[in-house]
Amino acid sequence: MTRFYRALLRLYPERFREEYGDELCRAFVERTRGRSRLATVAAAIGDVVPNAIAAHWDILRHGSGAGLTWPAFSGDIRYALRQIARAPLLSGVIIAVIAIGIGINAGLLTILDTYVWQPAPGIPRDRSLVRLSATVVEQKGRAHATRLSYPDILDLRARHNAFADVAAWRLTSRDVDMGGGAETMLVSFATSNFFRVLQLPLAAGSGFDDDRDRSSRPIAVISYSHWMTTFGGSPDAIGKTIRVSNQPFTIVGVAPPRFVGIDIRDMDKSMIWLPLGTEEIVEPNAAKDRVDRGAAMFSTFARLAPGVSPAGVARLTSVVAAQLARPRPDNLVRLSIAAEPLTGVAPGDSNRTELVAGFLLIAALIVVITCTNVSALLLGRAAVRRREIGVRLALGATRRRLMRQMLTESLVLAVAGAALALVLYVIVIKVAYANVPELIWGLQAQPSTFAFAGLFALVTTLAFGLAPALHATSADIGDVMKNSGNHAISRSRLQRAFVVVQLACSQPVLVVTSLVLADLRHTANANADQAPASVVTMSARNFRSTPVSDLGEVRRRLAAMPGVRSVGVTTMGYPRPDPRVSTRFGPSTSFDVPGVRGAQRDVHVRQRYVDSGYFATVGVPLLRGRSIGVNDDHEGSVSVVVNDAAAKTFWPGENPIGKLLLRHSSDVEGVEATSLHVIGVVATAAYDADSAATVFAPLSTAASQWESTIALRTSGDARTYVPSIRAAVREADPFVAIDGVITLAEQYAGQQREAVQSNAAAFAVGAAALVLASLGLYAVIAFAVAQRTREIGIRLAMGATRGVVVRQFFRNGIVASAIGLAIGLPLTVAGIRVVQANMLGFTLQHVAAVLVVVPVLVSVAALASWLPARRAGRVDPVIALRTE
Amino acid sequence: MHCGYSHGVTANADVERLLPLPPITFHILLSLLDGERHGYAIIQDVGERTGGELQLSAGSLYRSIARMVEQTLIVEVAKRHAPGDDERRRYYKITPFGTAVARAEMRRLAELVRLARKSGLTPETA
Repeated sequence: MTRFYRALLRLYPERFREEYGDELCRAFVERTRGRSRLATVAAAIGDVVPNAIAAHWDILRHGSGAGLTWPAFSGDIRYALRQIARAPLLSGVIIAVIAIGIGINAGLLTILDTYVWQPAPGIPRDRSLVRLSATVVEQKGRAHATRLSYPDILDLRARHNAFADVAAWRLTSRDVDMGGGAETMLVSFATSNFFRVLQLPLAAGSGFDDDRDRSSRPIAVISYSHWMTTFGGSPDAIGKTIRVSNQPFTIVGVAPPRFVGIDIRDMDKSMIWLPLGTEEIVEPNAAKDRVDRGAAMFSTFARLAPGVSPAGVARLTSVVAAQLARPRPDNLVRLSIAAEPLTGVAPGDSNRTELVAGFLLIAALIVVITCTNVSALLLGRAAVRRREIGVRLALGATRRRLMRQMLTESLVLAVAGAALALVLYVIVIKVAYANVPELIWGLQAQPSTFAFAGLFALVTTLAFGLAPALHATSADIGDVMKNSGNHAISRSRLQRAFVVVQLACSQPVLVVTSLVLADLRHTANANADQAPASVVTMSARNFRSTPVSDLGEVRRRLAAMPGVRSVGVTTMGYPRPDPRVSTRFGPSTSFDVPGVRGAQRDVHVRQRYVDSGYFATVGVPLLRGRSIGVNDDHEGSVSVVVNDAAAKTFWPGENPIGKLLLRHSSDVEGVEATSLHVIGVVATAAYDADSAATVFAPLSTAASQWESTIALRTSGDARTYVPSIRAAVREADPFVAIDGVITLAEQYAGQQREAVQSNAAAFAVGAAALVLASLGLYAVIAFAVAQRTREIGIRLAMGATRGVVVRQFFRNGIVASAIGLAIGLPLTVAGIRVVQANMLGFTLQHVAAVLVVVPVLVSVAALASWLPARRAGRVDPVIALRTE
Repeated sequence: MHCGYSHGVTANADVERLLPLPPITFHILLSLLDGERHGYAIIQDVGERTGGELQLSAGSLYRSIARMVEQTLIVEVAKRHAPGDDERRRYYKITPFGTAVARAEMRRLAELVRLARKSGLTPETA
C-alpha cells in the first residue's frame, strides 16, 4: 500500500516530493493503520489528489511558494514563447486557425445547447421530467406522430409504476384583455397539475386548484412579463379580472420569471395559462372533446416514478398503449408512447433532427479542417527546426525532453488560440445582443459549452502536435548537422505530401459544409418592398361547435367598416367531402388532367379556397378568363381558377380556360374524384416570391373554415384600422379569435429580414470555413516553398533564369493541388451522395454553390506556390545560399 | 525577508501580514507550543485537541508545514535526542516569531469574540 501512495506522490511538484515524500509516507501509514485496503486506497487518493493540485496552484500563484519551484515546466513555457515569437507569422496563423475553429464550434454548440438540448427558459434541468410522444401505426403500416386525447392522459396517469404524474396542455390563440384593450395571445389550456409537475414555484398567487381538471371556475395564471408591464409587479394583481374572448377570468397566479411555456418555439409570444376545466367557457364543444379518444390534441409531459428511466417508459406503457388503441377507429392498430428529456424543442418538431444533424455535421467538419491545418502547420514548423533539434540532441538533450518541449509549444499555441476564441465568442454574443436581440432571444453564452470546445481543441491540438513532434525528434543527428541534400529532398517530398493530403481533405469537407449550409438557406424575396401597407391580413379561428360554420357575419361586419374597400377570405385544407367518405384523418389531394392521366400525378400542386373578394383585396392580378365570382361560391361548385405556374404544369403552351381538371381526394377509405372546370388564370402578386403551382377553388367548397385568413384593403395605412377591426370581429362573433393582425408590408418586411439574417449567418459560417481552409493551405504551401530558398539559390547560381525557377515551383504547386483534389474527388462525391440522400429540396442550385469551393482552393494553392517562389527568385543567389 | 528570531522588535507588520491565520496553521502552532513534535504526532495532537473535529491528512499537514517553514513560523529540529525514537523522523519546533504570530491571532480572535458579545450574541441558542 505504501508503494501505491508513493506512486501517487508523483503528482506533487518535484521539490516538494523530494523534501517531504518520506515524511508523507510515514504519516500516511500511521494515519491509516488498521483500515481496510479499500479505505486506505480511497484515503490515499483523497489525500494526494486535492493537495497535489493545491501545491501546484501555490507555485503558480506565488512563483516559488512554500520553498517549491517549478523550474522545468516554466522553462519549457518560456522557451516555447520565444520560439513562437521567432516565427510570428506562422504562429499567428496557427493561433488564428485554432481560434476560428473553436469559435465556430462553440457558437454552433451554444445554439444547439440553448435551443435544442436544454429545457425551455425557466424550467429546471431535471432528469425525471420527460416529454411523452405518441406514435400511431395504421393498418397499412404507416406510422405518424400524434398528440394524445384527454382519456389517453387519464390512462397514462393511472400507470403509477411509470409516472409520478402526467400533465398536458394545448395551445390556442385568443383575444385577451388585461385592462388595456384586447390583444391576441397564446392561451395554454393546461391540466391543473401543470405547474406542480414542473415543480415551478409561482412568482405570486397560489395557482390552479388541484382538482384533477373538474372545476370550471374561470381562473388564469399570467406570465411574469405581463405582471411586470401591466400590473407593475404588484401583489394586488392576484384577484384582478381579465377577459379572455370577452369572458371574465380571475388572476390566481403569476408564472416565474423567464418561463414562457414548454416549447421555445412560442417564447417570443405572449402567453397565459387557463385550467383545462375552463375550456368550454370559450369553446362550446370542448366538453365533448374531453371524453373523445379521437380528439388527440394535447401535448404531454410527465414526471417519472422514482427509479424509472425514460427508456423504461415504452415497456411500462405498452399495456396502456394497447388499451388506448382499442377504442379508436379500426384503421389504428397500434399506439406507442416514448419518453425523452423535456427539452425546449419537441422531438417531432419540424426540422429538429435535420437541424441538429446539420449543426453537428458542420461542427465536426470544422474540427476536421482545423485539425488538418494545425497538424500541417506544426509539421512545417518541425521540419524547419530539424537543425535546431539536431543541435540540441548533439548537445545531449534527450528525445523525451525534446518531445516535451515540442508538445509544450503546441499547448501554448492551443491555449493562445482558445483564449482568442473566448474573446471573440464573448464579443460576438455581446454585439449580437446589442444589435439584433430578437434574433438571439434566450441565447446564452455558456461557460460549459465553451469549456467543452476549448478542451476539445486542446486535446486535438496535442494529439495532432504529437506526429510533427515525433517526426522532428526522430532526426538523425549526423544527417541533420551535415544538412545533407538527401534530407532536403525527403523534406520537400513530405511537405508536398502534406499539401496533397490537405487538399484531399479540405475539398470534401468544404463541399459538404456548403451543401448543408445551402440547405439551411432561405430564399430572399426581391420584391418584398412592393407589399402594400394598405392591406392587412389576420388569421381567424372559428371555435363554434358546428364544424362547417363560416365567417359570414364577421366578413359582413368588416366590409361595412368605414374606410374598408374590400374584404377577402381564404383557407387551405381539404375539400368538403362526400358524406359517404370519412375524412377523419384528412385526405390527401392530388390533381391530374383527363387524357394525360398519370403524367402529372406526382406534381405537387397546392390547393386554396378563396371567396369572390380575395384576389382583388390582396392584389393578385387576373391574366385570363374571369375570377371566382359570388355566383361561383356555393357548395358543390366546380369552377376553379389556377395560377400561371399551375397552368404551365397542366397545359403547357395551351389556353387553360374551359379545360377540365380532375381532383382526387383520397383517404384511408377510398378515393373520390371530382371534375373541375377552369374559369380563369391569375398571376402571382407582384410582392410575392412564392410561385408554387396552385389551384384556387371557391371558399364554400372547403370542408371547413375552422382556420382561415381574412384580408382587408383599406384606404390609407391599414395599421390604423387594427383596433377597430378587432372590435368589429369581437362584436360580430365572440367565438372567432383573430391572430397576427399585420399589414402585408410589415409581414413581407419581417420575412425579408429573417431571410437576410439567417442567410448572413449561414454565409458567415461558410466563409469562415473557407478562410480557415485557405489560410492553412496557403501557409503550408508558402512555407514549403520558402523553405527551399537555398535550393532556389543553388539553381540560380547554376545559371537557371528566375522565370524558369518560379514557373517550375508554380507548376509543382498546381500539380500537387491537382493530385490532392483528384484524390479528394471520390470522397466529395460520396459526401454529396450522403447529403443528397438525407436532404429534402436538393437542387442544382446547391451544386452551383459548391462549385465555388474548388476554384477558390486552386487559386489559393496557385497563389501560395507563386508568391513565395517569386520572392525567393528575387533574392541574390549568394544570400539565398546562406539561408538556414 | 523578515527575521524570525528577533524578539520584541519583530516588525509588527510581519506578524500582521500573516493574519488571519488559516485554521490548520493555527492548530499546528498550538500543538508545537507544548514542545517539539514530528508530523504524525502533530496530526494526533490536533485530533485530540479538537475532540476529533479536525483530522489532518498527511498531504494537507506537509503542505502547511512547507509553507510555515518558508514563513519561519516553525523550524526543523536538527537532531533528535529522546532515546528509542525513530531517528529518521523529522521534528519541528515553533520559533519566537511563530509564537508572536500565534499570540496575535489569539488577540484577533478574542477581539472578534468581544465584539460579538457586545452585540448581544451568545453561543447558546436562545
